[in-house]
Amino acid sequence: MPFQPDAPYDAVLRVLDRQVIGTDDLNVCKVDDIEVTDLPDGSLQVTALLAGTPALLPRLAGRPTRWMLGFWERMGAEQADRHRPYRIPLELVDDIGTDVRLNVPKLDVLERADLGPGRHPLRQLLALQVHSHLGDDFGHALDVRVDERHRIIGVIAGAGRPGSLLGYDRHPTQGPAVLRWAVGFLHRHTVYIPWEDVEDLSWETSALVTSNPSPTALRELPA
Amino acid sequence: MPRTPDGGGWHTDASRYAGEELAAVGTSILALRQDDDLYGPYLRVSTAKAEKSGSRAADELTSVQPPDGARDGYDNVTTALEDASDVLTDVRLAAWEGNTASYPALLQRLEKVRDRLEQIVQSLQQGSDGSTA
Amino acid sequence: MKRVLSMALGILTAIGGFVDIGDLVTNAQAGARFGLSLTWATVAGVVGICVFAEMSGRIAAVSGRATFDLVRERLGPGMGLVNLLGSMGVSLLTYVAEIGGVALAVELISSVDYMLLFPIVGVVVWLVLWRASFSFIENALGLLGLALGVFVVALFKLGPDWSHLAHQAVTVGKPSDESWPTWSYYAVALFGAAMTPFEVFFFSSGGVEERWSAKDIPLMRSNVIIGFPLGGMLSISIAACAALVLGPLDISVSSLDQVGLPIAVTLGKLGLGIALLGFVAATFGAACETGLSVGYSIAQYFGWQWGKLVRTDVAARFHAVLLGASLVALGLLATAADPVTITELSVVFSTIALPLTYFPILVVANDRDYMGTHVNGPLLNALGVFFLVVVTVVAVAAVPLMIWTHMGS
Repeated sequence: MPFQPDAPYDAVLRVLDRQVIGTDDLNVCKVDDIEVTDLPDGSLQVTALLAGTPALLPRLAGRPTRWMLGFWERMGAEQADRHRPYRIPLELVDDIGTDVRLNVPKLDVLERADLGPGRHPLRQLLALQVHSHLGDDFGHALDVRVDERHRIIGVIAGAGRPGSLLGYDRHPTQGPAVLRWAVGFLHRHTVYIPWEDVEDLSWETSALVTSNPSPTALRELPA
Repeated sequence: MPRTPDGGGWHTDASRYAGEELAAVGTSILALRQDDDLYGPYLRVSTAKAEKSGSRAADELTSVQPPDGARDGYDNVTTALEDASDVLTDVRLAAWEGNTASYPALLQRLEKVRDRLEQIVQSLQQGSDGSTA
Repeated sequence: MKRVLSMALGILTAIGGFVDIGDLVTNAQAGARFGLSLTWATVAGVVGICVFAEMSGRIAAVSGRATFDLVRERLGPGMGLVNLLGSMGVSLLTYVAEIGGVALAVELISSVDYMLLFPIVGVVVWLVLWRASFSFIENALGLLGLALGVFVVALFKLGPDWSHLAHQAVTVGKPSDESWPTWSYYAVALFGAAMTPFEVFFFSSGGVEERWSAKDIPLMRSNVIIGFPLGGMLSISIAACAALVLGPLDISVSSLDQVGLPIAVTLGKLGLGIALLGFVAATFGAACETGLSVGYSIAQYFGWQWGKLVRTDVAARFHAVLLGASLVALGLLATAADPVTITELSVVFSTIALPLTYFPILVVANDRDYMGTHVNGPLLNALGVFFLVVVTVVAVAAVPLMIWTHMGS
């Protein structure tokens, strides 16, 4: 029975970098990235979990990592599937709590797969610069809100790293108070953009344009 | 190459190495006093380490180049450390041979070098160049 | 009855397992030079590790996730990798120090040269990590570590002026012949010796291995809140014995035999024998813990199967890391580096690895999606934030102090 969330969830906060475990209670891998797929109506849907060096390494920022990536590619230039990450289709996911539980055992579950046209790793979505159509800059995507049918219903945009909200936006009373205040202050300009407001998304230019020049600040959103 | 005098002054280096020699001597005094209450291997290892630590301190100090005018102090302190190291070697030899009869005499010699080292450390910490201790 | 026994076992192994080569050396050094004037630093470290371990243990019990899982999850893979390299480096350095410590202790028992002993010790430690059960490592070695209680007995036998000792312990002061920077350096070292990150990796990973659940929380808390402070008392007794016996003779501690001399002076051969047993048990146990921690941290970052509670072949990568770490450790010891110096370095560098490991735990311990009703209460949060500040300050001050005071000389 594939994973049925009972409420919308934030993909970076709740799924990314979590431990994936099989039915035999053995560790499989970490969620190194997430695959999102273009739908005909222009929205995006979470369709698979991604794992492996090709999924993880590009997420590490900075010059040393680019060197690492180049080194790793040179070490196996003859392997055609070098760039393909391991792909776990969402149908194999049973539950996502403090870890990701599959409905199959660990053995031979990871298979390399091309992402194919219309499929994108979440890190590309998180690299998008978010602007309004009038040119206001909202930073870049920090997280995506996903509904019970795994469709992306909104984007959280601001400065800083994805995941730096640490979950304080979801629970207004989460302690300790000092940290909550600090995160709130650092993210005072972070906004939430519902998918209906997305006017244009360009993977090539790494830009997302919203039609609303003054989107709701994240802290004013009900949790 | 001899080490050039430390920016902090000759007496910083000298008091540090004299202090290390003093610690080695103190350890041997304690170890010999316990004699029977220490297992053979423990006494042997303890005295051997004290000797090694003391001779290293003496060597380090000897290799420092004293600043002008501190030559007397240098001679005085290095002699004291070398004398102490000699006693520590004799202690180690006696401990490894199990020559317990010689311990009282060795303890006396240890106490003497300990007193001398203590005086040197004190005078160095008070800022003298070590020649008067 | 079974619960009482199990609680007692937990507390006793926590006490006996608390002291490692870092505590032995640093407390003896500080006691000999500073008397009890740095006790507050040890106390701070003990309270700190109680807070850190309780939160990590509770998270492991409620969510089944160990410390390093959360480091990657909350800090992201980039910062998580930086943290991994730092934590693995420090755990490995400590692993080297502990293996060296076992060899030094065995040298004192056998007078066989340390350089001949450490390879044998390294192989034996690796074999235990490979073959022995988790409960052997935790329980047998932890209980044998209680032999270090002989330092408490020795302290009473020395019949010190208790009011003078107490006064020294509670007032902020230092001996006149020592400088404030050196005093601060030793404060950092003592804090780092007590609040070691690998202890928490081991504690929380062990909790996951033993499949703790929410109903194990009271037992886990009793281990931490009773066991660790009593273990800290052992550390303070080592410092006090050094202060009373070594201090008057101006003996600064640079080798393990000096740490045991106060026991020989007060309790004779029998006491010394028990102390030696304690040295071996404490350092051997800590060697196992740090070795496992190297494996835990990298496996929990990459999502590999880890642990002693599955068959070795099922956690193949984990055991390969343990083997590799043991070989690297033996390689480092083969350079004839002094294990006491390595210990001093490991204790200081541990403090640098602390903040980024501590921070995600503090956040997750408050996360209701993770912890349900078992989130931190306001008192624990106050302590939690206080120690976040403390470990950050200590981490920033550690290396400058180390360089400025030439490692406390």
